[in-house]
Amino acid sequence: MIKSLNLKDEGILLLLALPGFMGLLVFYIMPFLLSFYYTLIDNNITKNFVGLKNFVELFTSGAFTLGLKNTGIFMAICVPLNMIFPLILALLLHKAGKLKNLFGLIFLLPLVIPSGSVAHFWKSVFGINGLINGAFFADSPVNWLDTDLSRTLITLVFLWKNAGFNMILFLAGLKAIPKEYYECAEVEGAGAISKFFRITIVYIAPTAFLVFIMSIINSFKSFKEIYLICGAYPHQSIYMLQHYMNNQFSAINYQKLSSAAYVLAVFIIILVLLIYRLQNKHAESLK
Amino acid sequence: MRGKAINKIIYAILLLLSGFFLFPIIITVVNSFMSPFEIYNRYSSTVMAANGFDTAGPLHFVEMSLIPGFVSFKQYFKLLFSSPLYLGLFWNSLKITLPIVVGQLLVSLPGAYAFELSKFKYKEALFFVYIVVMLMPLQVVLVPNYIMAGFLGIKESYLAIILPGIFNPFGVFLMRQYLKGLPKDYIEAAKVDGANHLQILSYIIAPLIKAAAAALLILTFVEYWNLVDQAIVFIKEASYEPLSAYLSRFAESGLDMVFAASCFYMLPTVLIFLFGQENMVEGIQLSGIK
Repeated sequence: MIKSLNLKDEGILLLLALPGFMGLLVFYIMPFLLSFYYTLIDNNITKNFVGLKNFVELFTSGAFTLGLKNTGIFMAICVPLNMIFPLILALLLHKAGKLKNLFGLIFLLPLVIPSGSVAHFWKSVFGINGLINGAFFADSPVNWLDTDLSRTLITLVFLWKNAGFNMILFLAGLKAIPKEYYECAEVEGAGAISKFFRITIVYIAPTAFLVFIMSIINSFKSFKEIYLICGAYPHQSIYMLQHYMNNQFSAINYQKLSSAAYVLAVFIIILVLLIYRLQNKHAESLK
Repeated sequence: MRGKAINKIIYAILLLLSGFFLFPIIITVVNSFMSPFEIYNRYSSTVMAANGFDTAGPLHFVEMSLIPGFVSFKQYFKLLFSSPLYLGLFWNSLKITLPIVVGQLLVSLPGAYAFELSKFKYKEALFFVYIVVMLMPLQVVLVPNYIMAGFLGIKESYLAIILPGIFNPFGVFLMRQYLKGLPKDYIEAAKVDGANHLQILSYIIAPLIKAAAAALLILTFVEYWNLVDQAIVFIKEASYEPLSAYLSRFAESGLDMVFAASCFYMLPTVLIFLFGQENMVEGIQLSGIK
């Protein structure tokens, strides 16, 4: 009796999840699996089986490795910064009094500003006749977006846009830490620094996992900013995997594009597995 | 005493940071009320008679200002009454964004509910797939999506962008994060009273997740109002583009209404944000604790 009730229960739940799941299957998973076919053939016309040749060519082609390297470096810089800076913002706001909400709103506002709406602003600051050159380098102006510094500048734009969201998450995490923990630590004579590392960091970690995931998503999305500010062929230090893939798409080279997609997918799956393990470990250590 | 001093320092830092966060937005808004003439004088890289006081070099540098020389609505006038392309592209953005927002909400809530309550053995493994798909940059599914669009005969239509948008797993992820934080007692109690899942979903869960739904609505709207990646690969003709993708090219055809165009385009997202921010912040925050 109980079992049949459960089955009916599961059936209804399945029906509820089905539309979304079918959509995911049809528009993401199935096509992605089917595109594996393209990684194995030489071109769209003769369609000869070539084994792993596409992958080998991928890693010997300068453009792909450049894009992969840049995307990797950009993430390695942006993801930690997009966790540390918002945490600092949240700590500051946590201590602020009445104006807390107002400041919070201000920091969150860039999130909703369409990237194209401020693209011209950033160009007017960093461009050849931009604010920075006008103020400091009027004698020998350079387009800063076309130098090795471009990565740093894009990082700045990235933080400007994305820090607020993570700050909101951290703020909730800070609020959820019971005050007694701090009071207890104080009684035992703990200083501010040891309180921060022994309590704040430990109990904010569950939030940090979500912040980490959001930061990865957003670091991929900053391709938008790079494209809008620097165009389809930016300086080589901010030539991302997405540029490479877009260009392969325009060249109708589905083989290279699909192979690149599979390489990236493998990286992301490994990354998510690592996050999961870390999260579980941490959850157990808190028990 | 010491506490007060620290408070002052915190406020000073916050004020400084606010400047950094607001400056690009304020400049864009203020500049949209400058006359096209003034904009050219301030932003043009060529030295002209009107801005010729720094003729030392061959280049004229940008001169930003927080106060217009005199307030003018000329940019907006031009934008709204003599550039049909602009309004057409704005309309395109709406046509893409609105169906995605509605669809995401309709698909995500039942999906998240099922995930949270189901006792299916492999549901976490399945959810893992959702997260992986969510983390993929759009370009990974570019070819697959393109082929599927061709297969469904929607290659030339916005549906090629809208349908994958509706089924973006982010909504299910966010809503499930939020549902995890809700006390399960409500649901158990309702079940004991003989309510079925549809009743629980519409009478108990739906009112409780107002904040999360608002957060998802705003985030999805903001995300697709800012659509660029899909547009540059799927849309070949400029008049079919959403404004988000075209906006940065506005400056190429002339500076005279760049700022008004930028400003007008951020208006919908800023308004939605200001109206919904309380719910949105709560929704994001409650999804983050568990």
